Parts: sequence; structure tokens; C-alpha cells
Amino acid sequence: MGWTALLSEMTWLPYACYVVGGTHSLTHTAFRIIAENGGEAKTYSKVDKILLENGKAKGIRLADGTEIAAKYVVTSVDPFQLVFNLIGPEHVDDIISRKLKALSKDWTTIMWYSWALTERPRFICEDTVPDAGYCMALGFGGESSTGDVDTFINESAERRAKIWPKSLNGLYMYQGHQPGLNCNFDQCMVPPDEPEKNFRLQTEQFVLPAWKYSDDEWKAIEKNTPTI
Amino acid sequence: MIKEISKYAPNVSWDIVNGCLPVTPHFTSGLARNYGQAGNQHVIENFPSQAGKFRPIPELAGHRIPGIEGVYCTGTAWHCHGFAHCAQGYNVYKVMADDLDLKKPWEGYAY
Repeated sequence: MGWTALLSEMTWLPYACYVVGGTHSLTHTAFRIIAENGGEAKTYSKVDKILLENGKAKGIRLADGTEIAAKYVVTSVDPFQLVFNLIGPEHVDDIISRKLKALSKDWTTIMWYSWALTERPRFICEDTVPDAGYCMALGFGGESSTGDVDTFINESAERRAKIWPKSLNGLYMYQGHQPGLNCNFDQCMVPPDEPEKNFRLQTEQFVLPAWKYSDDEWKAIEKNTPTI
Repeated sequence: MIKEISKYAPNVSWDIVNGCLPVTPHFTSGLARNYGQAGNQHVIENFPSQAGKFRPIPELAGHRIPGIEGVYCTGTAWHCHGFAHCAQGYNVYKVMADDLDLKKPWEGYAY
């Protein structure tokens, strides 16, 4: 999957911006606009079906049987729930159902950690590229940084063979808060007291799909992996 | 993980770690049904046959469902690729604006 993501990041990241206060602020603002215009937002209300009549949407039905009339329905659920549950495969062409069933959906499985550090990482490369320490996102090559690109192939093959990757190639780091510097990351997420001693870091790595292990095995992985 | 980061930033060690919160595919799959049994945060993979105008499949990539009027679909399984950003929502907004003759505030701008 790498090259499409890389190209997207290269073209998209320079224009990236963030909502002050985190994504909750965005949701809260949208809710206020809906409420101020006479709308209603329902939470914990599972949608059972999109109601159709003569090939047109006429509303939705909730799991408790409540029907809500609407001319238009906008969904952000995955395409499988949309077609096989909310609409029903009988309302779409067979070729759509077949293509959906053939989609690959099990391998962009990422484990990430949010780290609380008492000081920011001081990167070796800052000696030559001072700005490196103030980037929001950094991608490390892991073992591939030594020039052995086969590690990417090996990692992919290991994951497809349902083996936990032996090398750590896809390590991405997102940094939060650069005290005293004009960083583009949202500063309000950092505790106000002693900001120099509160540094937030997020790391990502590719691992195996959730269905590979049992609940107990995943709990053990959550507990032990950071120390490996 | 700490050992790997310390290769690039030698001052990073367990001595400066206050704590960490792990989020595994198992956690992600339990968080919302959208992520499926695998806990795939992009719902479907990002490789070329499932990216851009082919995402999730060509028939649904236009944010409409063939043969059904009034249902608009979007999310991380849609154009342009799987990621937590506003592009997919903005795309469906433009499609709806075309269909419903809404104002198009983006006209005159590149996007």
C-alpha cells in the first residue's frame, strides 16, 4: 500500500491543519449548528435499515423500530454494512455485491501507542537539519534505513503468513507540543503546568489483524510489547 | 519500540517515559463495527485497485448507489484513500451540491 499513501502524504501534508481543541471541537460545533437550525442529534441509536420506496430513499428505521422520514440519507458506514445490512443486497446489482465481497480489508492493521515523555526526543539528524526536531510527523525506515529494502518484503510476507513481523520497518512518529516554538500541532492538548516536562508522542507500526489472536492474547500483547 | 526510537534520538529511554497507552487492532475492531473483524483503521486496503476513483469499487466511488436515489455514502473507504481526514466528507458534499442545486462556495478556488 505504500506508494499511494506516500504520494498522498507528500501532496496533502503541507496543507494539513488541525482543529483547536481536538476533533471533539469539530463534532461539538456541527452539533450546535444542527441544533440551532431545529435539527436533532441522536446518540446510541443503532440504524437498522435505510427505507426505500420505488428506488428512492424515504428515511431510516432504528433498531428500536422508530422510523424517521427523510428525502436524503447520508451514511459514513463501511460499504459492507451499507450494502449488506442497511440497504440489503436485493436492492443493488449482483456485480456490486460480488466486488464488495472481493475487497481486501484485513491488512492495514496498525498498532499505535500514545507516549507521555518528560522531555522531547533530541534527534541525531538535528545536528545537520535543525528543523527535524520540530516536524509534526516523522517516518523512520527501521531496518530498511540501513539500505536493506528486502525488510519491507519480508515484513509483508510475514504478516500475510500470520507471523508477527520480526523487524520494525513501518515506524511512524507524531510529535506533540514544542515548548516556545511555533509548532503547527494543537497546543491545547498539553497540560498547562510545566509544559517542558510534558511531551506527547504517538508511534505506529504494522502488526497482525485482530482476528489472529484471542482476547487474552491481545491483552498480553498490549502489556508486553512496549517493553520488547 | 523505545530501543528503535533511541537509534534516532539517543535521549529517549524508559527513564523519560511517564506512561503509554496501546491501541491494538483488537481494540480498534471492538471500538466500532466499521473497522471489521481485522481492526483495519482504513476499513479497506489502500493499494491501487482500491484507491482514488476505484475506491471502494468503481460503482460506488461517485458517492451514489446505482439504482437508488437519495442515498449518499462516504467514509474512509471512499476516495481518495483511507485516512482520518475531511476529504471524503468534502467530496460527498460537492456531489450533493450538484444533485440538490446547493450553493457552491468553492467555485473560483482550486478546490
